[in-house]
Amino acid sequence: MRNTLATEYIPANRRKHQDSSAAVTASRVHSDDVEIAIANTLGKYSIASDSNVSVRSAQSYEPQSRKASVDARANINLLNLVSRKKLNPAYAAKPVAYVVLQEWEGVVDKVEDNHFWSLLADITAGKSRLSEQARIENSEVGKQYLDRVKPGAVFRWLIGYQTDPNGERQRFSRIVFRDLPRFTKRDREEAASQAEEFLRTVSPLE
Amino acid sequence: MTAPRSDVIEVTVLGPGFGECVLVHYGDGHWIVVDSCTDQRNNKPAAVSYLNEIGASCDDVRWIVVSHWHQDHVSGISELIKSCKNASVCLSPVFDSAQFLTEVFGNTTSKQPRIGSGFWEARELLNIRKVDKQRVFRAAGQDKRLQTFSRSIFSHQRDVELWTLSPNDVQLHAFLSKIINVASPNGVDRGRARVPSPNESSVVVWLQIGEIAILLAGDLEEAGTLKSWSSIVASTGRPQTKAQILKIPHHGSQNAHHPAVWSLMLEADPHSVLTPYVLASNFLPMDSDIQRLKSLTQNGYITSTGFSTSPASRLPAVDKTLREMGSPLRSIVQHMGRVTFRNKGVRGFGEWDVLISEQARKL
Repeated sequence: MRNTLATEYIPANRRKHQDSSAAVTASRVHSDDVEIAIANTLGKYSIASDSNVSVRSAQSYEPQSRKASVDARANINLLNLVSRKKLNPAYAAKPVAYVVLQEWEGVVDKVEDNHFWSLLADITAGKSRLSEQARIENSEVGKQYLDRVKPGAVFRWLIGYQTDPNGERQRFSRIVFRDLPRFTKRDREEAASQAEEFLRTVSPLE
Repeated sequence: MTAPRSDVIEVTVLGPGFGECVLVHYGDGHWIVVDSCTDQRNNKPAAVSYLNEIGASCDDVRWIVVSHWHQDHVSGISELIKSCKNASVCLSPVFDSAQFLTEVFGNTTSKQPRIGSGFWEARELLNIRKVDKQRVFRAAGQDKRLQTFSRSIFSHQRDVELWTLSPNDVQLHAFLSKIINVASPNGVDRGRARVPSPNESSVVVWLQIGEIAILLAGDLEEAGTLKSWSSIVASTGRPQTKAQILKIPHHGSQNAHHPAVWSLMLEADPHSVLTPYVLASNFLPMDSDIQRLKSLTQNGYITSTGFSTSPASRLPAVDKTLREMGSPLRSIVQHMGRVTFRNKGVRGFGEWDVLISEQARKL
């Protein structure tokens, strides 16, 4: 039986931490075998392939503050948070709350034996430029993403608090690789058409 | 610092640790800029900030040369070009290649992440080329004289010639055959587009100002099958004088070193400068590179020691998690370093003063 869940966005005025943090609560969980607690409302991340979860509804939301430099919508994208802890059926009706304290968008720069080097843009600080770097152990990446750890791959990295159904709060770190569309033959044909158009209309280099 | 006197030649290299930009004042307020990096203080192109600081005008920039499309050389290049309204622009001939343009358009769609790829700057440059019909765009090439300025317009009374020494057709062909496999392989997940390595097709600039020559070597590497530096050294079509000033290629790496460049194209103990490259696990120059360069010149400088500024302060819970993960963050945003060589003008045309910022060091 597939599980269903819905998400609820916690508005800014209920957040305990900095403005750009976000929280999502999984509710109405009908499951005795839930591994993934959060759904992806924007479709930028995939549900882990080994999960047994489907999304019945996901509440749309509007960010409370539309700071131009902050992709507030991105905050809701923590959504695919993967909880490896199976929920006890006794707690299934209780919410699992996540509060994200820090979020980066990262790109894999270099892959070595058991780790990779990444470049990071601080989404929480409203930056879109790569401004930091980190060495990340492969063990910090969910096994479903390990084959995506390649130079150029883009991911989100979230650090925050997770409150279990029994009220226990613990820190979490999640790295979620983005499920970006693949290059297709049509993509290439469109790009080639644009290139031809450019060369037809713009004077060549002297 | 103030702007150089009209008869003074200046070479300034800006390098914050990740990024590089070179400015040359070749007389009477005329400037050439090669490549671009961003000044983190104001997010503007570093060349624009520098010219403003010394009281020079972007309108006095006559040429902008783009050596290649690595992110550390093109950050802010489109804004720089827009700011320098009178500047002609010199690009690699790949910008007239349907193959390369296909990669640029294909890697700058709404499906593509925007972070950290030089393709987005390339796309913006294509937009400028399309709209700005008045501006001159020229292709670089091996042994190509871009422009000659008559001595009559300069206080120093010397002719000025601007040359490019690369790339040649073989290097361009090799670049295009590689990039199609790297930038957008059919059926592969999109990510940040990468460019081929080693860099065998970077534009190299030669500036001849009377008896003074300046070699700005971009990121051209000798490693690889093409032996790109060997091709330049062996050419009889380039100026056969020797340079007094060198922007050392590719952050001083061994891959970019060619002994004959030092023996045949440079005077003894040339004033030389490199920018560091500090990113991920890559650190250039290595200690062995510095030792090699010190053995070649007593006048070598580096724009920055390459140490990062502290990463942003964060909530204790975040810091604690990072510590537990063993993933300390390091900022790649660094203070702008600068090395400036200025000659003494007509009273000492071959004599150079060295002015360096706090971050810069002698090798």
